[in-house]
Amino acid sequence: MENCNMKRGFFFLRDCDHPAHQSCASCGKAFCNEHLRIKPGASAPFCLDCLGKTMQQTNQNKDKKVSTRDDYYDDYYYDTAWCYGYRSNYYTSGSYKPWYFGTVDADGSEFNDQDIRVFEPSAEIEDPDAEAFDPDANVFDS
Amino acid sequence: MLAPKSLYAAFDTYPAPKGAAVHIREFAQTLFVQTGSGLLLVLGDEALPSWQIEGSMQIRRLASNEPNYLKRAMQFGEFVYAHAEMLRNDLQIAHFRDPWSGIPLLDVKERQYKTVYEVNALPSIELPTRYASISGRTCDKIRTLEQRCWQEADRIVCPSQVIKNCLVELGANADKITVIPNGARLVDPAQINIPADAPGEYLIYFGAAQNWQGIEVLFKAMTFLRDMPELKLVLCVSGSKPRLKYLQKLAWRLGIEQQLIWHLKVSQAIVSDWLAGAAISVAPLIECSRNLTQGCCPIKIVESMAMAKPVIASDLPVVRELLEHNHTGWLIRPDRPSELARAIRILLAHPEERRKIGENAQKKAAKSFTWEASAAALATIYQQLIT
Repeated sequence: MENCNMKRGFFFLRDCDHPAHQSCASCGKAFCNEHLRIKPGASAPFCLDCLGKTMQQTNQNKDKKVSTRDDYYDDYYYDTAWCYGYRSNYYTSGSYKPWYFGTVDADGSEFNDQDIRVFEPSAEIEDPDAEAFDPDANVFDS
Repeated sequence: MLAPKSLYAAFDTYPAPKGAAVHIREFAQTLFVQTGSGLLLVLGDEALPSWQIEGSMQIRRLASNEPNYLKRAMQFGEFVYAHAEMLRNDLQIAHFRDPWSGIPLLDVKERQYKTVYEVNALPSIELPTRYASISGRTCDKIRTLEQRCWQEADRIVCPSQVIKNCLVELGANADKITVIPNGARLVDPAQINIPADAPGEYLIYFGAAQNWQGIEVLFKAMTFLRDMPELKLVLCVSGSKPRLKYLQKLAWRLGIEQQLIWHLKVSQAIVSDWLAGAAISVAPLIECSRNLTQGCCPIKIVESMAMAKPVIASDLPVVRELLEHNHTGWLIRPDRPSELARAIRILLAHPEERRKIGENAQKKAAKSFTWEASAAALATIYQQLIT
């Protein structure tokens, strides 16, 4: 089953590790239910990235003297989607390029779920009776 | 409080009972003295404050409960980035010990600070010894991050010539690498109170318990010394709970548990007390890529030398940078328990020889391995970067 295509995080992005449920009506990529919303009046879901971008554009274009806020629109998904739009806007308008730990890139330099999974405490060598995580443990010594 | 002028970041718990923490303390202090004020970013836990102010030094700790190593490293990266971004116009120097801290520091746009990469270890080499299922592809990705660090950092420091050679072999620019060996403070063991419950004659192993340290080899050597029931091995070790539990089980399986005295995660002061009373200090490093290819500079050897304690250690290039056989130490072939046991017997049987080796080692440490000398070498690099 395909995993959700959403990226979690702000400065450091990583893949959402939930299974995908439906595709976004705008970008066509598959997402989990947590990262999809049904717009009022629409029948198909949109991913939070697309929704956030739309909202950023709407806010930039609208006449600030006239409130066009829709209570239902706000209550239903405004807060959640807003941060995705803000994230997109932050990356495109500023100089910041997020450090992405998500899907395997062409140059193979970024981390995916498989990479992350091998670092679970239960995967440690000589760990037949794995106990709780020990924050004192670290491999770096001089 | 004024904004700090320098930043030292390490993906490591501080303070902690191991050599890495001593290293962090010494180098961070040197940096902060050079720039007048500084911020230390490290890992913490529930017992340590998340924010601490010590004179002109601030310590901020990330107390993460994230059990996954890589996810925890990413969290730490965010933590470092957030501070560096905020201070990008105030900092003169940012010094980092690992790629998890280094990449975010290098990523800050329009930063005004210079960077120093301190390479004590390469996660791409060390992590596979801890996590067996790491694929070559994952290691390559970690190597890509390390590579960016040594390519983009303004200066690189490392504690051993073997590490420098390794970095150069991997493509780092030799001209910007400076070898600064680990140091220790010279101590007269006669001035230290040996623990009241110390046995009459004992060996000591102290430091971290990773598999490359060779504790298994030492345990097997102890099985050859069962005819000396009075001889004990004191272990002042730190490490993960599973690893320590494994070692305790191994001791039981080998039938040497009566010969061992464990002190887990004890403070530096207590380690010093036990070291002062030991007949011999043992550093049985194994022959593995971490010790041979990557390199290291074992603080346990340097600290033993500084206390005039004879060290029996594996004959590896990293050890030969510190010890000369039968002069400042006693070298044995690595991974050979019977040879280690024989060396222990020889030195125990010759106390005068032991004393002489210890004294020579201390002289060598006074000449070449003091934190004052390391700090002076590091301070020179900082001055060059600031001016």
